[in-house]
Amino acid sequence: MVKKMKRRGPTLDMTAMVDVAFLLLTFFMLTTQFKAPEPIPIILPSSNAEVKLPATDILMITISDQGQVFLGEEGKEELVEIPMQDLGDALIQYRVQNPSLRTVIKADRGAAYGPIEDALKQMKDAQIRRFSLITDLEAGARDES
Amino acid sequence: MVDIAFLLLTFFMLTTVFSRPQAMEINLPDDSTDTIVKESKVLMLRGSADDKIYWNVGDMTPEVIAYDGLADLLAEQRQAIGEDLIAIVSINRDGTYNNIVDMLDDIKLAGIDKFSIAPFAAADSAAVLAAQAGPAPVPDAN
Repeated sequence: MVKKMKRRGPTLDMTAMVDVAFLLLTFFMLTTQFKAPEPIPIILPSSNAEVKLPATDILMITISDQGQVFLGEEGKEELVEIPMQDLGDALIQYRVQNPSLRTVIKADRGAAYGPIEDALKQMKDAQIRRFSLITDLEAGARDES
Repeated sequence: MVDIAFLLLTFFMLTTVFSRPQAMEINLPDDSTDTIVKESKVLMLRGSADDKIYWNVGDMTPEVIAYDGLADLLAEQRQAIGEDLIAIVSINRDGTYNNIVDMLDDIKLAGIDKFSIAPFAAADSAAVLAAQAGPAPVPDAN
């Protein structure tokens, strides 16, 4: 009698739970895999903007604090460094291939404004007037600069 | 094994949640059509290389303000000028990206919908110099 009681405890059937756990695990593993490696570390500026970017169709222009420019479709390919003067043409090519691309600028908070201005000029020439700037959520970090 | 599975599961769940970046939406006006606006409704914000803002409305002499005071200034001007207020932001090429993000952020927070980004021209340097009006400052390298 006592022996029987003891045995009943550990034979709890966990198959279903483990199945679900593994299902979720595979799901999250597959979805996270698409994160492309950053070409260069970027420290984002902070703002109060709370709009989240969509997960797909992002044309990312990354500008480092040294003024290097990287361009590529986020999540699909690795960003490649391109010279500033070729940015406009490259943007047009991307937009021709996929008109629903959203242009997004991700620049280091310490990046000089010069390259940013050049990039904005190139975008203007490529008829891109609607774009997004990637920022961190503000947490009283403003006076650090 | 199940423990490890759950550990991985939590790890992947947490990393996926944080991977969606925050973004600030910018919608610049079309410059192929000329829009005529009253000078008195235009608020110029010039960001200098030394993290200061020289602002003016219409043809007044620019005044200097720090980034901390920008939110108050914008709220004040928004009150005084009203909905027609148009903000024009231009940053010195030697300023930082952080400057423009701060400015645009404050502009959005103040509820100013109409704004544009203009290149920092020689006239802007001149205006900044005029405002500094003192010992000749180092000219801005454009």
